[in-house]
Amino acid sequence: MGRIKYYNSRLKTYYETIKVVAAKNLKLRYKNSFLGFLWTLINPLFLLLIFIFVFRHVVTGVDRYPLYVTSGLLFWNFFVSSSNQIINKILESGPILKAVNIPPIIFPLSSLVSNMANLLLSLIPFFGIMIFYGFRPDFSTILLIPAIAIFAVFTFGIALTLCCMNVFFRDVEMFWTTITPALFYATPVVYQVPAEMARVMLFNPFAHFINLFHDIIYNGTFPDAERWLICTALALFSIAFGLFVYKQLRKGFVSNF
Amino acid sequence: MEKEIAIEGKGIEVSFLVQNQGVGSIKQFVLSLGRDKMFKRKKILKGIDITVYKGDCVGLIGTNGSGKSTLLRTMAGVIPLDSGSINTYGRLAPMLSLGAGLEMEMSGLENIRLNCTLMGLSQKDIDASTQEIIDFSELGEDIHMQVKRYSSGMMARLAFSMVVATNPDILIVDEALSVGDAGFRNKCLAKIRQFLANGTTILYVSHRFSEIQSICNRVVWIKEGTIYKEGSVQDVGEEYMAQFK
Repeated sequence: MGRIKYYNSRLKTYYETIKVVAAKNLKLRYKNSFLGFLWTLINPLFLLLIFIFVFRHVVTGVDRYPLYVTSGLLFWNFFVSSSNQIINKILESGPILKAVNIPPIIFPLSSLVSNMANLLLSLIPFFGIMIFYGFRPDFSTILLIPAIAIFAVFTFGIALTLCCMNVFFRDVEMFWTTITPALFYATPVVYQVPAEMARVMLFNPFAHFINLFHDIIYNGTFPDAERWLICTALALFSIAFGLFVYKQLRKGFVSNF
Repeated sequence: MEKEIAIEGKGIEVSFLVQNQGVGSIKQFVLSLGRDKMFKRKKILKGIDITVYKGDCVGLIGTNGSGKSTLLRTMAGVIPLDSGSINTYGRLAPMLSLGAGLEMEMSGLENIRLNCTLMGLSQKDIDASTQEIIDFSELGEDIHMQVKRYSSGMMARLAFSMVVATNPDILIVDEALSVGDAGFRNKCLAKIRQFLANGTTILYVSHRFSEIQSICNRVVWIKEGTIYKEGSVQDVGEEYMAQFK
């Protein structure tokens, strides 16, 4: 296998590169729009309103339904918008990758960082909304930090896999936008799992994560160890798989830009 | 005195995985029941040994498709090797497609920060070099304008100025000077000559043999993925020009 070695070269600070590219992502997203960053909030808020006012007649028997929906929807949105953005990142960065020696993973990674920044910033107003709907911040709330971190790792593993495959098959992007609504309805974001479906739902990895957030925000409790373990294991498996696919497919990227 | 090596390549083999024409998606692959291969491997570089010494200015020549641009990009670290090795001693700045990293929606100034970071400069270095870059590009107040409003010449000036500011030990130039007005080209050549005088190593690909003649001290002729001939500009140049008569 061929190797390229660099001696005496300045160590590339990946950290700085990711920071700069992530900042660029955030700036660009709303550059020419009037409402700018506010859209990050308006979008989930709008969806939230639809679910709260329409679906509450469809889904009955869920106590404090608006809080239930908000606590899950916010994070589901993070997953979908992150993966949708990341999926095209390497292909998009083709021209740069053909001209400068940078590890391609920088671009999907920067996109993840900007999406996480978006999520954290939108949590500020959403905390207010959730409190309005009955959320009582507690000691357990601090667990949101590791929960978001683990969920981000899980998201990235999947997104990276799709991103790498998308370089070779443009179908992947279409496939993903088609399948995510189905995943949404298969996951208990806007409904609670009926007892008969409980066993089957165990096979949905997203359900475990959404329930993690439900535990912390909706139930206000410490999620049990089993839940943490499953989510961590899912995240580790996801990132391992993603990195594996990246390593295998990386060599063929340049030929396909 | 032992000459210092800048880049050493041994047994370089590079091939591209190209999508077969007409098999553009998974659907077609499936429909043809797997008979239509999705990818085929096209060998571009078939075993190249090349040594570039510090301070050399090596010109790569060859017809279109001979592999000279691929060799250049491989040495720049942008294309992975199938086998063989490349050792680089010193900081390498590629000038491969001027303006590749430019974000159209952002201003020239914002792009300076972005592009220089991508090229490996620290934030401190960028702060220190920004004025120098603006001055060299001669863009003046336009630096605050969105790059999408730049002419191609302006973009080339900006891109070139940024690469120049990274103060490389090794410069790799791939026909990058074909964009831009005559004034810009002359400025570039002058800067390259200045680099050479300072001991920078340069790898240069150009179709204009006159340019190669004017700055290079060695020429490597690539034909069909291997080195056909290498030597001084006079030796190789004669035969090269003769084939066009």
